[in-house]
Amino acid sequence: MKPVVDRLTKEYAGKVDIKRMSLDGDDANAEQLATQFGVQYVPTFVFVDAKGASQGFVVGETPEADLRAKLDALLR
Amino acid sequence: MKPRNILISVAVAALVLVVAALAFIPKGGGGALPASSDVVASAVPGLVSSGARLVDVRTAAEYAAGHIQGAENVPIDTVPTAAGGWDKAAPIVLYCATGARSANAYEYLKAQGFAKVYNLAGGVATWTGDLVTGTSSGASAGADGPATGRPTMYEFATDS
Repeated sequence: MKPVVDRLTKEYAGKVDIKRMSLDGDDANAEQLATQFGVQYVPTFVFVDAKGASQGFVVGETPEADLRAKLDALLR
Repeated sequence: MKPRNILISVAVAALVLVVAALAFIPKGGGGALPASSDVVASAVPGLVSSGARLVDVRTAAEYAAGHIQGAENVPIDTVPTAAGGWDKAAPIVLYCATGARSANAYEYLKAQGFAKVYNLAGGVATWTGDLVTGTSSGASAGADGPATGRPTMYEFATDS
């Protein structure tokens, strides 16, 4: 997924923050957020509006078009 | 009537009876719904609009993070209790994250005599429509992540 996420990160720069949260056990903040969002599988993409409210999520390897649709929905 | 004619008459009568019987056998239990089975995401809206109960068997936290509109949250360990109050003749669509937990719930409900149970194959991961956040259908989850002042997509992943 990395090339896709990297491409989207560049494309949506300044509009949507795209943050990679590593769940390898060395990032307490990532672990806490994952618990908060109920993340059980990786990869999971969580979409959050500017106020921090979750607007949905997708689990698993996801087509770029689907991620793009979710990102565009955040901007509406 | 000659014995040969009697034989032909009996054979024709039997054929008519068989055809008539086949015509009156209910198809798929009498409705337009398919037989109990795995279903794909695109089939779920049709089942729900036909009156199927949509059940999300994931945890409350997973449900709150995003669920299919109209789904009720019945975490897998509470299914036996909740199902006690369900109509065994009414269709039920089950889903979870990947289809594994809901497959267990499917087997349980079938064993309990539920006639029309469907499992969303691949789980909510295969759902391409919108997901609703919050603890009840249509509700907003409120602030459940840090406010960044800008929309954010978090990718939770491992490096391995």
